[in-house]
Amino acid sequence: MRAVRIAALVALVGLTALGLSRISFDVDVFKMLPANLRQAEGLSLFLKHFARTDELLVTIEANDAEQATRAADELAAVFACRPELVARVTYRPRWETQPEELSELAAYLLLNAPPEKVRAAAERALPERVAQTLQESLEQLAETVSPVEVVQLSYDPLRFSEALDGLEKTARGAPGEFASEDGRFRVLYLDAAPKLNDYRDTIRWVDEVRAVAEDWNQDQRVTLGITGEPAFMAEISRGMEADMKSSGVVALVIIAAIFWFCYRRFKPLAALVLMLVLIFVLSLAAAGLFLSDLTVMGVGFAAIMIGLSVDYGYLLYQQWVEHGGSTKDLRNRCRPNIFWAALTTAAAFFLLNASSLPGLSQLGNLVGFGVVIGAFVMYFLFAPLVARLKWRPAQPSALAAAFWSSWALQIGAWCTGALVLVLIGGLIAAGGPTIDDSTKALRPRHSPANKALDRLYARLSDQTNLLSVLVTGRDEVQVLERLRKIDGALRETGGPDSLYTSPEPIWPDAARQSRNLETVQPLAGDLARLREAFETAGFSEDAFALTRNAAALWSKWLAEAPPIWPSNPSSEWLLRRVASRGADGWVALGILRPAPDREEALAAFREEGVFVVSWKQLGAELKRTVPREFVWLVGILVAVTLGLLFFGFRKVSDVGLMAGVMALVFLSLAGAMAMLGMEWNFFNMAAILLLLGTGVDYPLHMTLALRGKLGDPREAQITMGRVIFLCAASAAVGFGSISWASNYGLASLGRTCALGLALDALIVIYLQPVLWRFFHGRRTGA
Amino acid sequence: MFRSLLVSVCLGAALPALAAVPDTAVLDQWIARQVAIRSLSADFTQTRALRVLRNPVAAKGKLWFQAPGDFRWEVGSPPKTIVLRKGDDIRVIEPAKQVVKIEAVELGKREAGLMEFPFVRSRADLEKRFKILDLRTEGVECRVKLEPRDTQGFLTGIALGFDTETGHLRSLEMSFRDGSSLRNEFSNIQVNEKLPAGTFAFDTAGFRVIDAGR
Repeated sequence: MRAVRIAALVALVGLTALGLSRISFDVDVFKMLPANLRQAEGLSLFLKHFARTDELLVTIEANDAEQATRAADELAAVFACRPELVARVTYRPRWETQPEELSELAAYLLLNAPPEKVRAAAERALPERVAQTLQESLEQLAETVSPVEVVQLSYDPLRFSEALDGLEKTARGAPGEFASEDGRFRVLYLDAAPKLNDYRDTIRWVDEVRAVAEDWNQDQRVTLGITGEPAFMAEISRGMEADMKSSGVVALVIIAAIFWFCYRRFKPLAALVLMLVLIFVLSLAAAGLFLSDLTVMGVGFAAIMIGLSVDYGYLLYQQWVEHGGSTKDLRNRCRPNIFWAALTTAAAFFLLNASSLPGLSQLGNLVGFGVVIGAFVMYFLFAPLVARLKWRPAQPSALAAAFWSSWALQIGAWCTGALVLVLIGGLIAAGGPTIDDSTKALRPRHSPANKALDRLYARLSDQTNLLSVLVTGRDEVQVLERLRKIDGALRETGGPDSLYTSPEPIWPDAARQSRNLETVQPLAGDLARLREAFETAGFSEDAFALTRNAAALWSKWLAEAPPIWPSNPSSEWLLRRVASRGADGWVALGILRPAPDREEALAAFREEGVFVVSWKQLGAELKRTVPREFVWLVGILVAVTLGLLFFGFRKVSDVGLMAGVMALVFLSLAGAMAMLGMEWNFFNMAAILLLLGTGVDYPLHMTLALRGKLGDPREAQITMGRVIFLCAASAAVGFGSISWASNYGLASLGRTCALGLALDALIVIYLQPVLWRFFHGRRTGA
Repeated sequence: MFRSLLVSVCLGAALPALAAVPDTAVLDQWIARQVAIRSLSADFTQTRALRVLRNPVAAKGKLWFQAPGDFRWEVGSPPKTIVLRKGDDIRVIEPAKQVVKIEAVELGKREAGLMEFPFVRSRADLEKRFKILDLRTEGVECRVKLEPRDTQGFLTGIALGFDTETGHLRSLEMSFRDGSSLRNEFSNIQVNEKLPAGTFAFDTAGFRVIDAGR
């Protein structure tokens, strides 16, 4: 038997170590959102394909353009001297310094152009027409007033670029990347030199880049900002790590302080803290073993779970203090309380799995596991410790004694009654808390990276009402088919004043490429004649460079199977903004600015493999789906809870009183939120479920106590009041400690639950016994 | 490129004030007199030198200006390209191709405010945007060299020459970052004379319209 126990213990330790080693964070906010939401799916796709995890953006804002340009030059030079940190710094269009690289893009775009236009362009270069074509270009160069045309004719006097229909619009719709129009705002793009394997590497890299930039800017000559995917990853994962550690530790410390305030004994306190740490470690290990990466919501579980699990410890200790006895006596006395409390609490948290929000589901599972583990640990380990070691509490302090005196309980009842009336009055007057339908709940509360990104959008491109159009496909052909299919419909749905920048003109068209290669093939073999024609017309070798380079590329591409993609750094820089390939296929990205009243119609645009998305529309979609879902969930939980209570108590009046108390709690909470200006969002709506699950424990404990001490309800109120006070204070501390979490949604959930539990405890301790006496007195009198 | 046309107009119209004043005071006079320009017409020869050309290319044209903001610039005879501006409405018309392109005026205003008239409102305004590198008079011709203070722009220098007796602009040359230059030589300049009705209009019925702003 002993061998079996040792083997079980070793297995437990091994599994715990394994589970803890598997814990990791997932900073993807979309992991917290329903996967079936169109907007969430599309935005997740956007981040996956177009947000680069190894590219950091450093923004510079100066008082004038000259200063900003000088600062960008200097800072780029500083980073260029740190090759171990930054692989590449890009702070102006690459083609400004490497114009010859544009030849590849030009050759590619021509290959992708309508074949009849390419044929017309090729015919202008035929021996009998080339002289006339070049002469016309010379005349146009003399006469034109368009700087764009001067550049085009200078480097493309055969006018191949006339075949590139629609490209001008694509270029025009693209947002600026390097500098604002007034030149005072500049952006540096830094590619990571070290390999970023996990969030710790990312945090280290971002910190080092920040240190270099801040060191350079010691005199605060410009305003620096750091943003981009690595900055967000570093910020969020650092916040998650800190949230989990700090909220758990804070909760533990405050809970210990509350215990000390009530009992003033070190040994039971140390044992309780040890139990809580054990519960935390076991729960975390279970999470590592059974769940995927922790999301920003999931990290809040530690504090909540500690705050809830400690209830069972308080109950056991208080019951032993009151009644003494053996371990068996203590367990028998506390079994119903622990069983029903753990059951209802775990049920409420596990019910979060029914939510379509995966972040909440994960939080529910973690806390559910924790509560069950907590109940077991307290019941099987803490109870024997308490009963065998017989740690008596110190005499209650005068303050504690006064706190539970008759007059204090009476004053408490009056004050609580008045508070409830004020809050319900406030609720009626204010009309209930409003719903925040923005996606704020998904974001960090304080985010310098987000601030820098907002500034970047404000200075480089107006993102108002902008929608991203993501077109997916298993290969380039399917993406192109879809791009062409939706073009007209998107423009029509977007309204007459909409601006759709489609990637279609630059998306490779295998069929066109094949035909165009055939058309331009003869030119590639006729370069000597063309050069001579250029010279005769008066053009220099510079003017011939593009034609020469393009012809060389066409010759090279003849050996390749279409679809052909350009591959030099300048082409790659341009194309990575509109095209991406992943394990799930190809994605093309377009930008759509609809007429003001057409945004929602576009967000509802349905076509296979096409997503028209924005953060604003994600908020609207969440508003449509999440509250409706919570109504269902709350309904189910109310039914389940009432069913369990009827099953356990088998008395309508007791269950009715508990339901009434909970109704008062929720009305008071709604009133308090309305009066404090707190809003409901997609995450703190879960507080309703959690309060139903955890908050019902207190009326349950009180009802059991009142039933057991019918002769002396006041004694029941004092005995159980102490336990509830401890439980509620601990749970409120647990939730309250995540009120400062880095994630806005998690923080709001913590605040709402802490407030609800505090109100719950007040109403149960002070009003429920009064109501009990009122109903039982009336019934007895009748 | 369009901005250069307005520079020509503005400078050309104002330069009579510079006559017979050999030092930089001519600039102050010129600036002070700009507001008096109500209308202007001139012929020009535009010569463009580019790195990609062995020799510069030239074209002849005519321009008209009327305060506060009407402008017409046409190249070729018959005109191959016509630029029409009425206030903030700028159109580039190619009659042979039957195309009219509506330009976004902001695009031109961005760089150094060269599309504004008067070109500068004060000496301080001029010096805020340009450094005066040189101003000298030889015979009846005054030559001024200006350098933009914005060193990041495409324009790297302006050289203008005018007749100190008539005040008429003889030439305006702009140099650009890529080594190219654009020189305009003006003749037959008429200032503050009544311009024919319809000078700043052109019938584009049936033309293909390209809105560059969209």
